[in-house]
Amino acid sequence: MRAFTPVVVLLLVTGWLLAVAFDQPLLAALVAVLCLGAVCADAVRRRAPARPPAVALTSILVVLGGFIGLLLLNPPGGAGGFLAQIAVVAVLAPVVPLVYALTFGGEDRGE
Amino acid sequence: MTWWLLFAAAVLVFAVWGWRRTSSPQAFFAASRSVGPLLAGLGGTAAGLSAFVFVGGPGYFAAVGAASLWIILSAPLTGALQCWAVGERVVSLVRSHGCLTVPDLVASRFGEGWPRGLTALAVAVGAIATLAVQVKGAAIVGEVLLGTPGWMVAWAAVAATVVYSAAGGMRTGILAEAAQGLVMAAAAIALAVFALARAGGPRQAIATIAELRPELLDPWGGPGPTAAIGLFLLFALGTCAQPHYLQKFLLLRDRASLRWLPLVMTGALLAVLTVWVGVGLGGTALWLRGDLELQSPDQLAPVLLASTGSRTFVVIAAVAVVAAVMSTAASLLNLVSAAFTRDLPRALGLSPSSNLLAARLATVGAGIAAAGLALASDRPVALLGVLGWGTFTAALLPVMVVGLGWKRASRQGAIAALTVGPLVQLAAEWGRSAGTLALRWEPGLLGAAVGALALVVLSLGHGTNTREEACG
Repeated sequence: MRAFTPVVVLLLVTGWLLAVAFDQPLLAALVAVLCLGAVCADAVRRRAPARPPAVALTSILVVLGGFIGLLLLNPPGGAGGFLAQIAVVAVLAPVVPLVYALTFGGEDRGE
Repeated sequence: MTWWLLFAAAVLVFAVWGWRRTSSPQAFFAASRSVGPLLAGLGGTAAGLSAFVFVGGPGYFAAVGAASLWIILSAPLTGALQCWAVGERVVSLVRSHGCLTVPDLVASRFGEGWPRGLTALAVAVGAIATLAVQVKGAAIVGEVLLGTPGWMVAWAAVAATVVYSAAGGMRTGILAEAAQGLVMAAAAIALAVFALARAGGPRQAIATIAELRPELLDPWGGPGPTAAIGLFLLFALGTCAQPHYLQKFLLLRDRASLRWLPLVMTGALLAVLTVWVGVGLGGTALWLRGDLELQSPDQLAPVLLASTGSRTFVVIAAVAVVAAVMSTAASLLNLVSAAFTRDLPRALGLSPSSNLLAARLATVGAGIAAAGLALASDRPVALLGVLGWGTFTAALLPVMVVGLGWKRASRQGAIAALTVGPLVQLAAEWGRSAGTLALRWEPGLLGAAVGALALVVLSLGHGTNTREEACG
């Protein structure tokens, strides 16, 4: 199944425009995370096997979405928010490129 | 004077070396497709980061604090994101169609004429705006750090880059960018450590800001959370639409080079971005304590360096920042040259010359145009940087991500996206400047969103009518 279809594009674009028009940061965060997943989905789908990279990508997006969501729903006082920003970079920076390298196939399955 | 002469001699030797090894468009525009992940990763990072990060980044932190970090929070993702979303597809198109430039990629999918021409136009306009950022950054560094007229340093940096870029194209450009990337990373870490140490360490710097301007530690400060998430998305997705990033995929020697590319890019990117956080945090704490005096936030990094009192340290830092400026300029000069001598003529039905004289002259012309624009513009470095990034995102994101990935995307849809996206972005830029559009509307993203809508709706209406063509 293809993840990046016209329906998905239309939903994401509409969601983004609504989020900004009505200043809804939670919707904006949700659309942002889904956008990142959608643009990667086709490459992940072409991997053989596709499940491990799909699970890894989903996990990365869950961490990212969880981080932004927590900051939005429960804004920490003082330096907490700034330190959370640094922490999420420290966690994701080694993980994401390693996930790419470890799930990379010399040739993919094509369209 | 001795240092200037040595610098000029080194540039000339490098240019002659490049000239002798560059005799075909493939060598000039794509470094003969001989580049591995290390060079491409270091070069790509250096090309993407420069004056904006060293001068604009810490200054932006001083202005809005932790909210500025949403621009760089996508850094852990962007290397892999680029490879997943566009890199693998670009490498496939290079192998199947022989593409040399970004407009080649679009033309290979949507046919000659308007798709190629509009892409080339967007690349040329955005690249000259982004080049202007580099020139302006060099001017600020020269004025504040070296105590020389800003225009003199800016012209020297541009002239040196033009000389080796015109001589060797990307063959010299990618080597210079990779070396400059290493210099940038080392200098960025050193500057960050220095700034934080001078502020009494990270804990003390945070405590100072928390006491004197606690709002600067709020990640949702400035224009608010929706705008912050917009910046995050712009700089995450936007990496898939920056031609100087996409260009690195065109230089790769094989598909296997993609495997470790994100790791190199992410490592180099994070090393350089330490300057944003370290100098931003430490310098802002020093500024709030009254240890630094700034006339504008852009001056934070240069003024911090000038305040050390060590001439050697200041010169080394200035050389590193100018090297950073030059690294981005080399790629952009090459892109503008390709747009004017290869892609726009082909879009008009003319045959581009295989002689490199025109490409070399166009490189010189692009350097002069960008320097003139930068020195005549009053826009701050950060704003010029966002304008260039936004133009590329609005124009190219829909065609590069949706267009290349979706089989039913049509030629009419691509032309509409390439036209509507940048027009909406420029209108939104104007609307925000005039105060008629809320700041949370990020112009680049808005342009890309409307462009993607146009691409999908028109493609659904017209059905599949793309024309696959070899790039030649």
